[in-house]
Amino acid sequence: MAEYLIAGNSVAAVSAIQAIRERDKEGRITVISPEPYTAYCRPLITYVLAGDVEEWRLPYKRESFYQQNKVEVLYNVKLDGVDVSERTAYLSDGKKVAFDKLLLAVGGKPFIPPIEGIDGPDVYTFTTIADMKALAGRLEDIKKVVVIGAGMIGMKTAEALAKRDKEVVIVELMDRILPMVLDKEGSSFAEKALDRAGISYVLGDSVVGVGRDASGKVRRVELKSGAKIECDAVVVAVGVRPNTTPVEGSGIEVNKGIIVDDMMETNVEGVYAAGDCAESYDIILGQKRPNLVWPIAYRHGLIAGANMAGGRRRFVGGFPINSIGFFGFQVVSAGMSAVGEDEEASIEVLKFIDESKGVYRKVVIANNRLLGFCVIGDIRRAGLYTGLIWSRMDVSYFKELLVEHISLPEAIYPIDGALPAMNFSDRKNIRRFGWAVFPYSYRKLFTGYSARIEEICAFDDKGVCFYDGADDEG
Amino acid sequence: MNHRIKRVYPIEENCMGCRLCEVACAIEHSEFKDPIMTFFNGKPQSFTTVEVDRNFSFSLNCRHCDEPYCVEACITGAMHKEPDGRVIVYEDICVGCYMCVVSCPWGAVNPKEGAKKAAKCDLCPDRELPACVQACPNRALVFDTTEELVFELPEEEEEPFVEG
Ligand SMILES: Cc1cc2nc3c(=O)[nH]c(=O)nc-3n(C[C@H](O)[C@H](O)[C@H](O)COP(=O)(O)OP(=O)(O)OC[C@H]3O[C@@H](n4cnc5c(N)ncnc54)[C@H](O)[C@@H]3O)c2cc1C
Ligand code: SF4
Ligand code: SF4
Repeated sequence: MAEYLIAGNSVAAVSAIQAIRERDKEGRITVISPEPYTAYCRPLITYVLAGDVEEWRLPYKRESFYQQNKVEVLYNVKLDGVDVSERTAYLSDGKKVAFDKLLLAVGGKPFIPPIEGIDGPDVYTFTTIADMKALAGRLEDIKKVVVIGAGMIGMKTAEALAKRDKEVVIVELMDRILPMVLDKEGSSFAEKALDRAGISYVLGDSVVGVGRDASGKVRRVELKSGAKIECDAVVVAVGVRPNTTPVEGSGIEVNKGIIVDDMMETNVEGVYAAGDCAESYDIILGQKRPNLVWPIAYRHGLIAGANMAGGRRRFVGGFPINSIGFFGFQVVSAGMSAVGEDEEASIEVLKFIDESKGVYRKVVIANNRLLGFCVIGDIRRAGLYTGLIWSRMDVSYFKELLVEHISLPEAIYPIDGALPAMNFSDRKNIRRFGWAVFPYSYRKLFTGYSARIEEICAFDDKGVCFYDGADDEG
Repeated sequence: MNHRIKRVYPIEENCMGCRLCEVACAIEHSEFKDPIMTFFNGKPQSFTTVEVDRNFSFSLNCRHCDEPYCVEACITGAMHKEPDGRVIVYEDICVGCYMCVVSCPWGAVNPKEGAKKAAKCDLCPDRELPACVQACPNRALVFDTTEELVFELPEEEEEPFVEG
């Protein structure tokens, strides 16, 4: 009977458990969980802090999931190290556990920049339930908070704190909000939403010191520009890095994250890695890198689990996919979305902007293929772009449609309610971006099946889909 | 994995782009189940979209994927695959983060009109035939399993691509 050991108890671990159990009903699965909870919806912690979601909704899986899948969970212990030749794992409670297959799904850890005075009370990170409870427990004593970093976690935390009537100041090193997702122009939409909500923000500046009073309480932060902001708490949200601490010195190869091949296996046979801690193939960059988002963690776990249980599944690759809303601002994006118009000659950026409606669509094209997009405001059917990134179809002959008219049902359901007269002769002139503009054989392939697009489109060495729109043009 | 679940497949050769499927879907999924009430009092929203490109069209809805992108992306577990193969969203768990909306390559999940929730095709659990399929006057939508459909598909000439 195979001994499966899974370090970590979050989405990657859950999908791995499901994949293992699909193939192996008997093997023993043990999960190591430093946190005293069943797998939970990590992104929901900001919603709970805000009071939008009740705490009982945090679990992603409940006890019954582990029982049904016959999984033993060791709560409140960590993986401290791995001996790959003995095939044993060292746990923080001093125990040793032998394994046949090990999955490292230990996630990410928040990066804390070296800032003077940052160590000590009143400085928070925000990635776990414990972090959330620590901050929630102090809310009564806090009036004003400085959030360092205007990324996803920083913005969601800032929104949550503002909803709890705290004064919030966001400080971001780059010149824009959500710097990984938006360019300067896109950021102006977010800035407008912040202005409307009365949230202050400082862009292009960084915190160089945290000032404390004699009792050690935070009183202010100092910025590089010399400005000082009074506050009584600081939230550090400058990014999450892959957690590679448990495998340090074990012989398991690590770059920025734990390096895996396309079967999610590390350089050590039988040891797999999945989720935020892993560094896997990015189909847009054409190289390995950590992609710390939920859908990729799920996919990693699914593929790793299948392979651990004797399957042969390949992780074709991934790319970051994001969706974030705050203060009435909504943006979705995938792939490379923050590149500016003139940054690189080989990259073409197309945009459609309607300030009055708050609509902004941007696509990034290189080599006739879609590498990324960003949509603000009306996000209906934005997933169509994601499909184009997956399939790597040649978009050159309809690229102007990409941003102008995404296929929307508004023609039949106008916002003001009245149904427009249907004029069939008009149909000849309707040309909107959607599956209908894709080549016939390509459409048939995907609308007739329900398989994964990236798996149908095998990628050659250059990462180009062989089922490529150009074939149909002749 | 269940490859034999029934799904709604578009037959674009039959579609004339009349959008009756969209109307039928919007009525079926409104609280009123009545055309007039739906369009004037409700928030009409169709989960199938008739895609049009000049001289042809077809109606596209959720593929109820074998390994759904939307389910993988859902940060709450609200989007899930039922044992019978249908991919549906539990609205009371959904927080409206729209990760599923960006993830679905078919553009088949969208924000619900007037609520911070996701909305998508549920294959009309209360009906024998989904409303869109029943409404189609041209048999341009069929409700069937993958395999049977693949054998049924007519061999068509490749459609020439005309620029302009
Ligand atoms: C506030 C917030 C909001 C987010 N919002 C989004 C969003 O909207 N969309 C999105 O795509 N992504 C979002 N993310 C990112 C997303 O949560 C992660 O990508 C996802 O949780 C990664 O899952 P994972 O399984 O790799 O690891 P994690 O969820 O990071 O979990 C790691 C697990 O490993 C355990 N662990 C840690 N160290 C050890 C050790 N030494 N030994 C054993 N176990 C260990 C932890 O206790 C935990 O159970 C958000 C993250 C945060 C913090
Ligand atoms: S909504 Fe999209 S991703 Fe989800 S099952 Fe339907 S087609 Fe697949
Ligand atoms: S919008 Fe709802 S269903 Fe979609 S991913 Fe978010 S929580 Fe899940």
